[in-house]
Amino acid sequence: MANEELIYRITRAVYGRLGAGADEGTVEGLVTDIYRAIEPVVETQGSGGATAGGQAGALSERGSTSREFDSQSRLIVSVFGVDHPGIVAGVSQVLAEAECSIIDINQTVVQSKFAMIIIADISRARESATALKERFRKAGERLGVRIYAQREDLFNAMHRI
Amino acid sequence: MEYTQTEILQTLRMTEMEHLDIRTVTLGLSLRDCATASLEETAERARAKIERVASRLVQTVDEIGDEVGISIANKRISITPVSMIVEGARGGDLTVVARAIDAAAQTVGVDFIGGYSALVHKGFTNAESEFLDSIPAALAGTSRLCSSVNVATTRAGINMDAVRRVGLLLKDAAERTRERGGLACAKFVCFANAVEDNPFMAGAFHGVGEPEAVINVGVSGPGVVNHAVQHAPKDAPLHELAELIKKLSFKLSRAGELVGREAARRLNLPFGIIDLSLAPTPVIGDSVADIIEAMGFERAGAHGTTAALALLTDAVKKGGAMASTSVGGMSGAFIPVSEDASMIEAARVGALTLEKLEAWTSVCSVGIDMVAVPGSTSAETLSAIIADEMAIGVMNNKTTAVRIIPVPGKEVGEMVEYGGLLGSAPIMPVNSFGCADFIRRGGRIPAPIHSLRN
Repeated sequence: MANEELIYRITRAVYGRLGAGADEGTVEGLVTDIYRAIEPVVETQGSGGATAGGQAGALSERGSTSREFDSQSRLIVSVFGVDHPGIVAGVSQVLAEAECSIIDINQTVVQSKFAMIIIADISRARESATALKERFRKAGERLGVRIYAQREDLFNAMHRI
Repeated sequence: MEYTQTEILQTLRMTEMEHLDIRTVTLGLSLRDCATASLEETAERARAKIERVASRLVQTVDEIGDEVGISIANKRISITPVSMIVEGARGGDLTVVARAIDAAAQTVGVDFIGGYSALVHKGFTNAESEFLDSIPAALAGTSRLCSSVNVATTRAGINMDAVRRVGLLLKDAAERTRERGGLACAKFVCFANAVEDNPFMAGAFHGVGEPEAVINVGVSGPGVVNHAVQHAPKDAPLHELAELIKKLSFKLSRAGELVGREAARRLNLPFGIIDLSLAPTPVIGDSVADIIEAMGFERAGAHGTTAALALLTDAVKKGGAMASTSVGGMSGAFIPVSEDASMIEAARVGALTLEKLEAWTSVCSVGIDMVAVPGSTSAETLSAIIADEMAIGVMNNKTTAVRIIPVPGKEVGEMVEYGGLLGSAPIMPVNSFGCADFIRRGGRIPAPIHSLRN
């Protein structure tokens, strides 16, 4: 993960120099070059082996989940539907596969209506939010429930001053 | 759990069932550095700059929408009033510039780009005079370009020569898009006291006091407010309704600000403003008229609805102003007839008339908005309708605007279909008594006494 933070910082520095209007291709090229130049040093520190190009590509998606605020790296997953065995297992499996850990979980069944709210840590997630949403959609279809995933800071913004 | 189940469910209900969305994330972009002595070169530079700066806009905003879990309905761009960047290259075909800007909008994937505009509230420069003539052709020949003209301010009064020309311009634009119900007029707004940082179309442009590039956000959520008002006790006094709306507006605005700041950060641009307007869509339940009716009216347009709308816009502003330090834009309620299912119905049954919409202008912003009138309406009558709206804005120190469509070949009682976000509209009757002599006088209605504030 150090790689990604490093690339994020390089990108910010490059945009800082070239200005907001800088051509995206040029910026990506520069970031890749700089990263390649320092890659050996980074490698010896034992970080992952992904190519710089791939990392730079992932950056635009993941840049947001910098750990400035906890609530940006947390997802609130809400699950509703008719109760049957395997819903908790199914949903937590999706989270596990995406390398998201569960911070808090709250689940009830009232008159055979299932309701669950999970707070998950997505700071180590391998996938973009879009991909994760698609997984939830498929899992929801399979399990016969509705699954919604929203970043925690939406709730923070709306319900906390 | 850090949030109660009720809080989480309320947010989910808003985003999934009540159409809470961010109506638009609009990139404001200066094109002043694109001006050259040649229209072709100016067009090319404008196209290149829009495509460069906005290249990541749509993708980035969609990503944020997915992550935060809130729908962001539209991605748009507002640009420097085009009349200003073509001043140095007079005499050529201005539609070259219009088409280039439209093409750039298509390339970067935004649905509308606003700013084919001129600010002529006190008079025309030579170039602006030519520019005004180019608007009908520019709108008819493009699909995403929006245009606006500011014809009045509280400080300058009303430029009645401009008002007269806008009437003619509307007739021309409607005729050029005759087979599409006069669609070009749906992309044109005439303003008094136009705001420089409005993110909403069709009236958005990037004002002269704005920075190089900026992210502005328009929040919405009539469905959310409607749900709350409908579920409030039927005998709840009005100040309690105001309190309810205020609290919801706070929450909506906070969600909007979150998205706006995140978009600005990722695009490495400054965050401009959040516009607190309630804006309807043709989707059932996403209606401003529904809110008014839920307050206790049989139909929007009944007597008392001006008071109801006043309460609504004021409560929305109060909640929003507490939620964000960057409130700007229009920040009122939008009442576009064709884009609001219950407004359409009210107009169809005769509850909502042009006169009532004009009265509503005094307590919202764009009073006569997406109103279809008979194609036989004269240019002078259109100008007179605009003059009335402009007078309300100028005298009351507020933004007012008109978006009216004289639908060619249609008469009162018929409907016109635009589809998509623009919806469909019943043709509404206009007052048939003459006003032509007044409009033909031209000149300027002087600024009101309260413009002398210094």
